[in-house]
Amino acid sequence: MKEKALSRRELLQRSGAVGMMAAGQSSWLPAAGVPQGKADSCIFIWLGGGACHIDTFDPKRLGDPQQRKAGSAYNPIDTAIEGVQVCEHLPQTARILDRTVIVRSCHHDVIDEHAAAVNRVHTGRPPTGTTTYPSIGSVTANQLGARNEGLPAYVVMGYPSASRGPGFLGARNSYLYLTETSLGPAALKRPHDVPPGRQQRRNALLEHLRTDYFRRNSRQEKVNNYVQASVEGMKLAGPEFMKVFELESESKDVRAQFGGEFGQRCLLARRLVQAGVRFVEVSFNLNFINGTGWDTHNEGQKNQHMLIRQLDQAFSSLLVDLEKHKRLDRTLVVIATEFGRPPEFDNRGGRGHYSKAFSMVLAGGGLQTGQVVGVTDELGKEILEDPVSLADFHATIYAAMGIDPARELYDGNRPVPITDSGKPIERLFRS
Amino acid sequence: MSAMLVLIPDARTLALLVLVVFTGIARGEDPPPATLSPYANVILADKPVGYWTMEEKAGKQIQNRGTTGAVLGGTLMNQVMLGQAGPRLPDYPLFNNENRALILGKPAGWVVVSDPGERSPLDFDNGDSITIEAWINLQSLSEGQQVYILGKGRTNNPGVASDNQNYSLRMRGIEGTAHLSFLFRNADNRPGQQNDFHRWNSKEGLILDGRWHHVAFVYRFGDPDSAHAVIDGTPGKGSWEMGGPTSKPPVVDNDELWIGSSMGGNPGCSFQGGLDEVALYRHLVPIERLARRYRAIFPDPREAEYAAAEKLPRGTVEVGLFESVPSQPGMVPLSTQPHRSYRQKSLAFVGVPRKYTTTGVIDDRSNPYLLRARNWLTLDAEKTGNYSIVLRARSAAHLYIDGELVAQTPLMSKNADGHEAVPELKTSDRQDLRLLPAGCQEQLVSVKLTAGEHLFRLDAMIGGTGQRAEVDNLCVAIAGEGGEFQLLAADRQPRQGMLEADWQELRSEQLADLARLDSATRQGASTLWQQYWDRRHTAGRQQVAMQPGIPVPAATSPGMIHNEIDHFINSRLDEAGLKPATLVSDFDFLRRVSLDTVGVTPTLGEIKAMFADRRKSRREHAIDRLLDDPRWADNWVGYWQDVLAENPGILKPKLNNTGPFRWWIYESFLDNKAMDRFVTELVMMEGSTYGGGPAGFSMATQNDVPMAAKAQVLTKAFLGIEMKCARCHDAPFHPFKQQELFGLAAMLTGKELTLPESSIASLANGGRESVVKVSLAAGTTITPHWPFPELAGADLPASLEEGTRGTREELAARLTSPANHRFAEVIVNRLWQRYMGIGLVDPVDDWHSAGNESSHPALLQYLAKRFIEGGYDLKKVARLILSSHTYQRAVGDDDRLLFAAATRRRMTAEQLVDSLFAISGKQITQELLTLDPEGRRPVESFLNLGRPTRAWQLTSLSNERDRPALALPMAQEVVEFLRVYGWRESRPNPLTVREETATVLQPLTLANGVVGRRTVRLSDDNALMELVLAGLPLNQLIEKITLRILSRPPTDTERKLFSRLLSEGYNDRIITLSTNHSKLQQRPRNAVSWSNHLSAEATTIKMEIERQVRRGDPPSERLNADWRERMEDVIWALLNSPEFTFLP
Repeated sequence: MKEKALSRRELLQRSGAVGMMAAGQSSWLPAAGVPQGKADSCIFIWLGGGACHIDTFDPKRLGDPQQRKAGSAYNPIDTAIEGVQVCEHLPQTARILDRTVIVRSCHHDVIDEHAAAVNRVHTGRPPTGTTTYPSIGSVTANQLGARNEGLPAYVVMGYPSASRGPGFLGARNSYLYLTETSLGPAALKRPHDVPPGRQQRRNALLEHLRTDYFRRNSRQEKVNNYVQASVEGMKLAGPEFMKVFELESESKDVRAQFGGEFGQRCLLARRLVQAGVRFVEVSFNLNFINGTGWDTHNEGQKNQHMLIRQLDQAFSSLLVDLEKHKRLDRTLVVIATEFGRPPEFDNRGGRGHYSKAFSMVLAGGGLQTGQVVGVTDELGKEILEDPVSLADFHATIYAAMGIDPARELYDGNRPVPITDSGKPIERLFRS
Repeated sequence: MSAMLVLIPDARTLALLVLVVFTGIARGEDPPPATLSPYANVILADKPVGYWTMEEKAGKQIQNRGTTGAVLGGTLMNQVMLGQAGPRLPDYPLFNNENRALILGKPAGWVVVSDPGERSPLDFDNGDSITIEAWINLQSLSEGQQVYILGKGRTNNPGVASDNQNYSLRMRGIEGTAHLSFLFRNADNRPGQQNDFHRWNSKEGLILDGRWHHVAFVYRFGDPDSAHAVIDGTPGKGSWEMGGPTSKPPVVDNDELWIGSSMGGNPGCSFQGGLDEVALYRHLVPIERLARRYRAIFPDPREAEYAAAEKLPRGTVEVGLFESVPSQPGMVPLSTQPHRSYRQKSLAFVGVPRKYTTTGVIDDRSNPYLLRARNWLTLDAEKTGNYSIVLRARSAAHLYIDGELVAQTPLMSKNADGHEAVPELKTSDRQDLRLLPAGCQEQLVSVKLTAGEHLFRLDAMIGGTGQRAEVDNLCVAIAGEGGEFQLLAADRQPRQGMLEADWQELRSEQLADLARLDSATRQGASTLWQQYWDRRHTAGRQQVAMQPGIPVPAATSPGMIHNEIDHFINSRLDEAGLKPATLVSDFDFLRRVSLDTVGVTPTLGEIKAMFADRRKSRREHAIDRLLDDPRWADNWVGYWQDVLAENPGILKPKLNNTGPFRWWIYESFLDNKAMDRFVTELVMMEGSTYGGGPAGFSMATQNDVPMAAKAQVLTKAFLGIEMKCARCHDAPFHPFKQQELFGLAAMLTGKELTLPESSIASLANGGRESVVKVSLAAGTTITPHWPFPELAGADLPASLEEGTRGTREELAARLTSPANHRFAEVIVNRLWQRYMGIGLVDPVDDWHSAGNESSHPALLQYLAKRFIEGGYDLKKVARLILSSHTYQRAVGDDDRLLFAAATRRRMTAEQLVDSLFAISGKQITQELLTLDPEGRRPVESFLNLGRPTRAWQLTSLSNERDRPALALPMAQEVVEFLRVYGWRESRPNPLTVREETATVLQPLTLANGVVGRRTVRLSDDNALMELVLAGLPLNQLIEKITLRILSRPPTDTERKLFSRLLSEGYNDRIITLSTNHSKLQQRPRNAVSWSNHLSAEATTIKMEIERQVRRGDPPSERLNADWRERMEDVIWALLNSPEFTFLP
């Protein structure tokens, strides 16, 4: 009940969305057989809508939407991993596929509703009526904080949603978000009509009012913390962190290399990670390219290859760029999606939802890349080998980041393990 | 009019009619001689095998007058009435004055004609020709429904093959009209093979308008091209579906022929309404002859219309709402009584009054329902001429002038699956019409009107299958030659234009009118219910009076005592040797009490009123004014949304979604409903589920036992008992067992509950020893039982028995019984916590956690007693607390638990947003909180929560799909602001005290975010502009701005600071504009809806809006830009000062 004074460090830890704790790696003593990775950051690429695994990372025999013949929509091509093929619209990724691990045996049981599946993949578990689980980004923010002091731990490029939120971990483990790279982060970016000089005038006025207020009122901790948060916030909104968002400072070639808005988001993600942000979720929600985005019902299928090509360009550029900046080993890049799609076509040439088997991708992060986990049957409908549950997938990401997937968090006095008995995919970790 | 048949709206009326018939017979009237109408002779000339004229007046049999004779007589089954009026003179000249018909009622009535045997006249095989005809007056038919006129086979009789449809003629509802539908099954009759059915539907249909219609069908089996229909004398084509056209023979057997129903009398396929002159032929009656069967002469519609409107008052628009109507306007006879009628000023609608149950909670109307509005309009002699008229409606609407249809809109199209194109903006060359809103249809016509009185009638269908029944943007506007469009108003009513600004003005005015109507309806509808509560409260008072009194302690702090509360508090302070803090200033008091009661900071007017009151008791008067203020309700909704886990989703169900019962919460506090009644209505879960009634509380989507979730909410909210853990196992830190929670859940369900596997905690995790105990096994049956005998004992007081018919009523009674002191204590403790920052028991929703004892047990009991004595009136206890010295004390650092001083509290998220928008006077957002503004999707998966005017009305925007086209950019800014200050966008679980940690994003969002920027920006619609533009001396402007924002005059520091900044250029700040450009600009049309959100254009539009929103409101050009910026900076600094965010 009692409020007590917070040290500056504590304040920073509590400060929100922008849990700015600058912490070292949390280290845990791995239980026998639980591997521990060396990644210190994560870029979580989100293909919202449910990307079709057999049209991307798990190609199968060719189908035909016109004839409603089940199968992949595109031809397969060879990759840098011997004997492993991906779809023909991923040529650049194919060339560096040895930096990645395709997990072809992801599965869960939600297909009827996007929001529920999005929640499932972000929290790694089915919902229960009595608690709200945190997202993988919030758990990471909670466990590791930001890599550098004065920075947010968790940034989302996409729309804010409860599934991306901190759940019972509370506001301090929430995200900072932006919906478009050119708009910058909501609330952080100084309004365009307030140039630095005007902001200084404002700050000077405010400083006077605050001093005057504290002269008339006792300096209570609640108010004090708020004012301190405000001062920290202004620093965050200041030039140092805002420079990270200035993509113009990258060379023209680099920007062109990454491609359109999604590519620019990936480039910004690299800059954020470089600056010390711990977890960046990058949403690929540019559904105007083909209408439906990755949710390729009906006519959405027709131009799906354009989405795949954008993904190819941005993802491969990101890996190459991270490598160039010597960060790929320490940055885990994930391609995640809420579910896959069936090999069958609907009567307008598109595809429905499918979650009994689908693919997600891990790259860099110091993992033993250059392998494929899981095998599906001839049309990608059944998992034949090495099923990876969402708990296992999350556990793999956490382990790669040095977080114990079995550690307990607390919702009030109720213990909640970070994953529900998730087991990291062992062969991805160097022994 | 006289020819129109009596409608049969429901079974009750039907029973009444039956009664009338039998009374007639009892009087011994003889049936008149069976004279056949001229029509019968026409039919007989064509030699039908079966011809049932339905002339019988009584009995169980009907005669066949066809060539086959008595062998095809019929037997009446279930709800059939004989002797009712059929088509008659003068409207139907082929008939006589006495023609009688059958009426088939609900749930089903039919006539059985036995098959005489093999190869009987009723059997049709390949090569046989068939003609079927009948007169029908069908009363209801929903979309896709098919009702039988006549069918051979498919009776579900034992001993015959199923699906054995030899032939049948049915009526099928297709897009609001009734089409002829012929169905047979081919002789293959393979079980489960849908394609063995062959169905032919007529292209044209008829409107169910309460009149008699003639339908006929001809066909030669084996020749699919031979099918033809004749409807009301007009021959027509059709097409085959299901198995398609076929030359296969039909299934033939000895099953019965039924008239009016099929499949064992299934109500869904049973004809409702009048049937007459049913005839069956074994040859093709020539189409021309069938066409001549229909002759009808109706009276001049003007006369009928005028006759019906004679009593309509002049100078007002009379609106009637008719429920349970077919999906087509114009079919409800003028003589039918509406379920609800009221009056308004014009033929323009932004909504309709709500419907209420007998307990006064929000209820649903049928979907669809019909809105009929009529009014007289008088044109002066010089105004004879041509008029342009525009009709706007969402779905089908008809506009009649003097009984003649002059304009109409079609039914709303369906299947809005996301792949449509964003509709083109219809730019009529008329500049005097506001843009057509998304999903709205319009028709523009030109009519000639003469001088004199004219009767206007608008019939609009509201809602429809799979669509939401909403009324908005429905209107009729009229323009004389060369004149501007005006909304059609009744005589003597003010005329309004049809521009956006006019419509916004109309909106706010009509919404206020509707709110007044609704308030009156609530009180009127629930009189008996209110009387029941009055009796209960009297009994409660008596009960409390019998209990020993609670002594009020003496205290030794003179001048520090306003009322009894202070005695309790100060005596404890005396014991602790502490001195109470002094009172806050009147300015600080007013700000604090305004936020605590109405949820916003005081206006300049309210501050003035307070200081104009020279009485010593002016604080008391201010409290009274604020307690009477309707904004009291706004300030409570957000609180109960949290506590009761109100969690509506605007897009498809997610975890623990409920209905939007926020509207019921709002109305309850608007009406200052007694809290025991409030809780009872919540527990009873009646009224509307999706429209805002307490039935919305009964929902918990994706939850395996919704009632267990509800029991957990109720105990936490009203008993301070936390049973969250008991949901899946016995609570480790609380004395509650899963058995007890499910006993309550069973009480809510009204029967035994079986514990599902999914509600049992899995203990397999981790392998460590669990503190959690599972004492129940999946499949355990739990009977309804009240697990807290210590709170409300075995016997309920007699005064409560009235309300205890089932276990749910019993639960409500036990929760709210005056014998249950815990309930009263929990409520007054909640109130105390809201006003004092910390409860007498804290946390307020968990009284059983370790070490949670009351700090002032006697005070708690005292307040609870006063609460019961006051009839559970929250305002009475609130007045007591707000008037106390304890509440009015300055903030201090002393021990908070003893209340020597007030606690520093931060405004809630809602109070911040509401205060900001109250200061700027701007709209929170213009966006509707829905992803389907067109209203083309069902309410079960797409809610429309309207255009928010207060923060509690916002909700999660549900863009988990991450699609820019689904964004609501303006609302999103407000939602994000609320969220960073601790408001929950979704509320799957109950919560009372929100997380209050200061985060970096809070001050940042206020400083840089769109919501804060909108308040600061001096755009033309900013209410602060009024002060800025008034010719005040600078020091007065500074004073007023500071008063408006911080509710106190500026300090010396502030005065100096601000005047130094603002004096330069102050006298030249105002720029006089040459043109009057302040008229509200037409905003870019946002026609994005779920139906088109997958189109590239939808994304482009929304992203542009998002950028616009982020750019901010355009600054006023009436101010010098440099001075304006300095003024804005002063406003910015005042708003960002901690003094704004924290209560004094």
